[in-house]
Amino acid sequence: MAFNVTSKILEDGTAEITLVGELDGSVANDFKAAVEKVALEKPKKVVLMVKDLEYMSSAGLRVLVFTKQKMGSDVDIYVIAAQDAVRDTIEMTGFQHSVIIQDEYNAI
Amino acid sequence: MAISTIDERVGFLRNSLLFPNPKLKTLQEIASKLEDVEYQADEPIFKAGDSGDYMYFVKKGKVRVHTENRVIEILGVNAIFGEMALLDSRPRMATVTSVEKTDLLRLDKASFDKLIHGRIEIVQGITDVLTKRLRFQDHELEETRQSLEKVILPLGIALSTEKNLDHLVERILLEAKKLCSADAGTMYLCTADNHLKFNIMFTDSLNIALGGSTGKEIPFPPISLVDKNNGQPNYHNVSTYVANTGHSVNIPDIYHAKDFDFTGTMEFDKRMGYRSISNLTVPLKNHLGDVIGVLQLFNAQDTTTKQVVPFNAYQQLIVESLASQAAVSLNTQELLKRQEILVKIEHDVQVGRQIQADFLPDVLPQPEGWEIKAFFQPAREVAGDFYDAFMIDDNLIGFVIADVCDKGVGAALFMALSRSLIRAFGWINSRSNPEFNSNTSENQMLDFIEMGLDPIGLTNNYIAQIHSKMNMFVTLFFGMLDPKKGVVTYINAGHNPPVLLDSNGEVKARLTLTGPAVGMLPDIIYAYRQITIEPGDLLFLFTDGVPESHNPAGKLLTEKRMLEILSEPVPAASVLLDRVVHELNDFMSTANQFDDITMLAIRRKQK
Repeated sequence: MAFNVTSKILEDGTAEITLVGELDGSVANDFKAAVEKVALEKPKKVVLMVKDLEYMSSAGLRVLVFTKQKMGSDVDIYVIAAQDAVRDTIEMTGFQHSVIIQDEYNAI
Repeated sequence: MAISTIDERVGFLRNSLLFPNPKLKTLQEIASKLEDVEYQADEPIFKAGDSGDYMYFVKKGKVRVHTENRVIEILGVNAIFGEMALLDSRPRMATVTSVEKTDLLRLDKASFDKLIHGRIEIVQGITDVLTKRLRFQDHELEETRQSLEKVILPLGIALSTEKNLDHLVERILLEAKKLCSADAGTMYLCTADNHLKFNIMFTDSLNIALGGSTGKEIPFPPISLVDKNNGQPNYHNVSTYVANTGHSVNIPDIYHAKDFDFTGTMEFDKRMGYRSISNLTVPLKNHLGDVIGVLQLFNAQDTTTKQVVPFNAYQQLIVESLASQAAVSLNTQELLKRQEILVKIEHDVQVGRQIQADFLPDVLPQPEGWEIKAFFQPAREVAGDFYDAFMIDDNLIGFVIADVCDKGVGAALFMALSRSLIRAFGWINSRSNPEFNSNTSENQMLDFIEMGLDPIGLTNNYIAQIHSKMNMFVTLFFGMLDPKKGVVTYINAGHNPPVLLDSNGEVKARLTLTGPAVGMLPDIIYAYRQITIEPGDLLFLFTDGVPESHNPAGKLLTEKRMLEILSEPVPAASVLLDRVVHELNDFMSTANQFDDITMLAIRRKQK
């Protein structure tokens, strides 16, 4: 599936970014641009909806790292409904400690 | 309009080409059927596609036979035209327009039909006219063919190799002038301050040759591309109009051109006793489509009559095509320049590869009772994987396998950085604290960590803090082996869990994560673990490149398959690596290698 990223700011100031398709080096910059865009709104939380994200390469992981660094340590990053392949990539590099992985979004 | 008399007409008809040796009675009969008609300058007489109703004799003046794209012929006094449509009753093949005020005698179809019936000499006359026309067209065709074969095509080839832009534009001007048999040609070049500068000027009949390779100065000032009065583009002069719009302009007679200001040209004419008539002005563009100059030709000549004629559409096409050679040549020059740069970069990458190869250990330590073997195959010139094995002190051996989250030169630089930091921190620590030498590796690790000096933690902080903008990270496995005891104290920072195999190839353990990848987050306290490698055991370390190998269909090898390949008894570490390499090559077959492949095998020999 072709990659697509959309973002919106929810009423409570939470940023929601939806990722669809395959996230590799050729489209990672689109994801990064979306993160930079929501960063302007200074959200309290960032929720990544990845139910339809089929694949994430290390380039995509880099943008996740970037997201964590950009938002600051006070902002929680949620990864919602990650498929196995995506989850593996996050867990195998130990990044799962930096994000909150959930099947459904439940604000902590 | 003056009506000619029968006698006048007879006199005229005698000179006409249609009637060799006519009888007076015949001529008088035809003369009686003729009609005088008068046309002003530039008036259409008939158009291509019209049905043929008359044939015409030119009594006075000149007409132009032409199609939409080109002028076929100019006919003067005594010429005949329009008879073909009367003969075959098909529509007119061309348009005929008067050049100047012209008097014609015309004969209608009915009279013509009556005339040719039973009048052999007239039919012969007609055949004569047609044959003449055919020969003329044959000649034109042959000329065109010659022009194409001998001049235009070879010229195109020669121009495409001309590297010097000045020579190129001069050549284009000369050849364009020659092809159109134009008497004069000027080349202008656009300047940085928005003017058109006279670059080269030739007027053959006045023996003028200035600028370009003649070395003589051109005494005319540059023309502004911008109207000084209102800041708008200057469309008054045809040369600046062409430069500003990028469109060609073809003018049959500049003295009748209402759209442009030719005062300069007219003054030149008066001064030099010249008469500029037809003009073709064409833009010169570079490979980006920007206008860089203007080519202007004056007074195309008919090669047979030597009269000045307008530039026809075919000639315009040729000149535009030659002008476009400038763009092609410029593009080639640009590409050649870039190629030079790329060759230099490629050379640098080769040097980078050499330096990187230097970073890899020449010789892996082989402690008594152990084998340590490695396999390294980068996907590109320069790799993002690396491995290392070095003596920490007399006893302990440090080994590393790592993977930067990318490939190529950027990753390699990062890799060099990480490797150096690990070695440096490890080395500094072992040198700076004499207590280390006698301790167990576990205690050493604890000491490292307690002092906040463990190499991995330090490297992690360095990258995460100093290079956070790069968002790069390294997955890394760092182990300290005590070869006497077989104990490995290790940190796995986000890397593929190494496999501990027994001598039968069964999996004894996977050395899983003890912390996140290096460079992701600062201030991580990396946990460490320990495991013992028994005699006959083999510790297999690998990077993503192994399980993520692609086959030609794009399928991945998968870790499962990798484990299957490992699950056989191993007599030696090199045997295991060879087996894996063999299977990988089989699997990848014709596919390009996707990722760097790195493997490290540490085997404790059987007792």
